[in-house]
Amino acid sequence: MMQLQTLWKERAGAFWNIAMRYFRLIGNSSFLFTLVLALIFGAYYYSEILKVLPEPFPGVAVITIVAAIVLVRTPLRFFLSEADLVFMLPAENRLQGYFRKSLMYSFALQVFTTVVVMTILAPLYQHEMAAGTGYYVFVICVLIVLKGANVLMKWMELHLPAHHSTIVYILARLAVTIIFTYLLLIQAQWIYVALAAVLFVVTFFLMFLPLQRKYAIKWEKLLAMDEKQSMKFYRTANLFTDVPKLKQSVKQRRLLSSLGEKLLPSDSVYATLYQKAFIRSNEYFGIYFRLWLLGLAVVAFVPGLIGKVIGAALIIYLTATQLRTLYPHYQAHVMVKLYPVSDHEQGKAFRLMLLRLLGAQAVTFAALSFLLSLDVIVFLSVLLAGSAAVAVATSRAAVVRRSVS
Amino acid sequence: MNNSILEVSHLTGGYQANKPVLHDVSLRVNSNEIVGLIGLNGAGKSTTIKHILGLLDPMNGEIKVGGTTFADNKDGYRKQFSYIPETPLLYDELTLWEHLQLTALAYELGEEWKERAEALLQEFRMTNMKKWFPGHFSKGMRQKVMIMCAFLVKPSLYIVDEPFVGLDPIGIQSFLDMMLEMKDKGAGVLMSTHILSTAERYCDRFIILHDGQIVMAGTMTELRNQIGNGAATLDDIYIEATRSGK
Repeated sequence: MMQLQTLWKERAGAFWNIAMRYFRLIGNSSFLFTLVLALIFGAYYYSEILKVLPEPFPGVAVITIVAAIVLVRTPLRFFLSEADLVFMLPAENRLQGYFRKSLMYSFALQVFTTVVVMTILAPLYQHEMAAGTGYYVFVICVLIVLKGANVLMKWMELHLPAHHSTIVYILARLAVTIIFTYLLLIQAQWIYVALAAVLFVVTFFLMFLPLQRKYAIKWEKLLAMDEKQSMKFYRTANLFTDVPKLKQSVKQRRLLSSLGEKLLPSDSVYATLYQKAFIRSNEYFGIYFRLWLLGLAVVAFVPGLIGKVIGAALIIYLTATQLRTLYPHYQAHVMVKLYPVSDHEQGKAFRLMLLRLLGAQAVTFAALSFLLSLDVIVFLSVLLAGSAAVAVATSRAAVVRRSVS
Repeated sequence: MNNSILEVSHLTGGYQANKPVLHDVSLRVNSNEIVGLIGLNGAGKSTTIKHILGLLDPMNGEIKVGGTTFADNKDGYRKQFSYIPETPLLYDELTLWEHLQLTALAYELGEEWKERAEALLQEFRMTNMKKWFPGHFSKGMRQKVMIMCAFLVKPSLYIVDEPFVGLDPIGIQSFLDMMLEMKDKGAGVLMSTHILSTAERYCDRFIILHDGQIVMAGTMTELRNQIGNGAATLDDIYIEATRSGK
């Protein structure tokens, strides 16, 4: 039986039970291997790039902006259920403990992200400021406090009625966070840092705290926020396994749709469906596009032929693993199964589309490498590596294996 | 009129400041009264209900339940009513009985709730399914759970959003009978519905909402007089009202 006191623990526990199952699946998949490889690759070239960084590079500004984004972007997790809109409303005042735990939980998770991001930025900071490790650790500690303040401010901001705009509040948080972080990073005189801290505290108490007193909890906003986050989690998990809980989100994307109709095959039922799903559904296009940009960056900035070749092939293979979740997209759709279409066509249509998408990547990677080096050997090597990756990824075995598992 | 349980005065509200859904809506539900809230899809019925529940804040105007506003006393305000949503909202991991138990917990009901719960289960013919999970329920059964939870509270105000869809005829009859019983005992009911023939038979007064504004309100006789047709059904009146409202 549900008790208000233990409610949060039960719900968080239920979520983590499911989450652990997915983590195990992710751990077992081959994607993790690719990811580790990409990480090593990234780490190596990160240190290489630091060595050749030009003098006027605004390193501290970059760190400030990245840190500010990490600090200000504060998704909160409440583990609410839609039924709470009926059952929990009369008990809202007795749920303060519940919400406090949610805030603590969100804070703990985001402390982790903050520390990870700041650790990644540490070499860049050392390169820029030559400050001691001790000082940087101190900075991270202060940023954790700022993170906590941002969690609270976000919570207060969520109390605003639906018809009030939150943009002023977000900008205010961003501004005070940026100012404080920047002064801290450039090791400004303590008087300035103290002034920034006062500004921060004043904003907190005069601008944000009153919101919580004035307005009630906005259940629908919290539910929407929860929904968005759990979908994000399930969508990530869906890259490795089929997630039944995943709701499809659809965007119209008019321009891309007409482009897709011209560039991708649409001469059969499945070809048409896959083309529409790729462009309009979930994050398929976003993933593809981001990896493409990443690939172009790798080909452009990674020094040395070997690096470019491995990078290009890796990105293409990674794109293929991510897009493979599109294959069973219509699995649960009854109408499609009733169409007079042979099963064989599904695989064919999917592989054809994959071939075009990955082929486009391979060709552009090669073209870019040629433009930048004007060396035919480089061009051919990148093209060859890319084509090989495309061939492996679009082979019948690679595509169909996924649908069986 | 000091026996009004719900009083909405000059409510302007919605989600966006520059695009309010409701414009200057005033309505009242008295005790011993069932009021029908009638309107097309998108007329603003659900938004009105959300404002009454305290899920949305008014941009203008005021809502009082039993004389207090939500801002005055949050829990006190909400404990005076129970709400039956348009689509049943249940916890997948709670049995039918546990839903009733949770309702008792949320509204801080006294121990005698158990007896009432058993009686409700009997009335809605769900005693056997006490230990079932909602995953095994049909839409109508889920709706019955919501209805039982609402009646368990015995509040002074019921806010009911489209209760009939999916219910079997006996379920509908039980629901209507209980509503009448609660009304006789002094409760007020605000019921939003599209089933106009049923509304016509059971509601004492009607509020017709169109494009976020009240276009007509009153008893059946008053509404008939307003459109000048003594024999009009609620359907006729409704169509007339929304047409002239344009």
